[in-house]
Amino acid sequence: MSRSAEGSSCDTVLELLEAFVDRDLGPGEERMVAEHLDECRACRREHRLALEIRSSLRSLPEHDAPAKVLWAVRMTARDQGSRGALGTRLLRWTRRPASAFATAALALAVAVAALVWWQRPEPRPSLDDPEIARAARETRFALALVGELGRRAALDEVLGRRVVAPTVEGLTDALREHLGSERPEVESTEREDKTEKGATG
Amino acid sequence: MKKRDVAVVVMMLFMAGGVASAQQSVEQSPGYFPLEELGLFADGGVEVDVDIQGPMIKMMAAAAQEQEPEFGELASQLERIRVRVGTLRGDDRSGVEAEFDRAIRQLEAAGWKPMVRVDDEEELVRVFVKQGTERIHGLAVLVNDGFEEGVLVNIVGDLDPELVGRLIGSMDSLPDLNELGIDIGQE
Repeated sequence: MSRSAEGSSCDTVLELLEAFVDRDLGPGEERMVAEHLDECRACRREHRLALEIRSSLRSLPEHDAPAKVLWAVRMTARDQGSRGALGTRLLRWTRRPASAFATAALALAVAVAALVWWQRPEPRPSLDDPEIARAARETRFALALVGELGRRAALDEVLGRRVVAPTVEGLTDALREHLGSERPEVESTEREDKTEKGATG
Repeated sequence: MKKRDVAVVVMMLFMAGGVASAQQSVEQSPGYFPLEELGLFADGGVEVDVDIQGPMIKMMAAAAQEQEPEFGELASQLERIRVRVGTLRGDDRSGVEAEFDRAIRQLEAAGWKPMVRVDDEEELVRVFVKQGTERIHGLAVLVNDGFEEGVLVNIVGDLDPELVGRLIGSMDSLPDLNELGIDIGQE
């Protein structure tokens, strides 16, 4: 261990060397280290080495920390700082007897604000809005489809029972009159039966 | 537990109950039927899929209240409207008909009552209703048009039967089908 003229030892200077390189020392200590470096070759070598290391570190490329690492750091920090979290502090604050009135006032203010917000005039929706107009059109279509199908079914019923069936009956009657018999198909069946009976008998 | 803590818990339960109630799904409504479950359309065959519900129905009802009060009133009773149009599943006419019959049985098994039935050479139509004691909970429409194209409709709500009948009766024909890309063989 060497000692300079002003009495600063190499150990003391080496301890301050990193701060000296980073220019973090006060004026007195900085001057003391600088004077020691002028006189001590060994410490000068250490100083030069420290400067080279710092220069090398600065030339390294920067990389973002992985997300997992950041998340872990945040979680750790949150856990450690949770005692001082805003929510906890507020909760603790509301439990103080002196703060009860303030808490009630705050709650009332929030309730009034919520009520005002709730009852604010809404912009009235209009059928001119393209989206609403389209929804109305599609709804009308669905309803009209039910109506249309119902009408069609009713029409089939009406056509079937009141138009087609009477027409067929009328034609049948006309045919009967033309053939001179009221029940032509029954009679023909009876005739066939008689023929069959005669054949078998 | 202090009185204030009890009050906070009660308030939180009240708020949680309100949120849960608002989020109650229309799928729980007795008039809802998931049209997809009928499996009537060929894979990738759905051409039109309309689904109106929630805020859109409310806005539509509010918008129509002044201009068309009757439609607005009915819209306020609606919960959901679904319309699906597309190519029917089935290799040939008998295949399509079999799928259609299966879908009809599926609806009947779910408690839907047939209201309208049309069977002819070109189309098969069924309109089903899910009815409560005094109100209509839902309508379901199945149209098999030409054994190629199909239209399925599900109207969900708590509907006044008289109002539904009056409104449907006042609609002379199907409106603006071309805009929806729907053709069910109107005459």
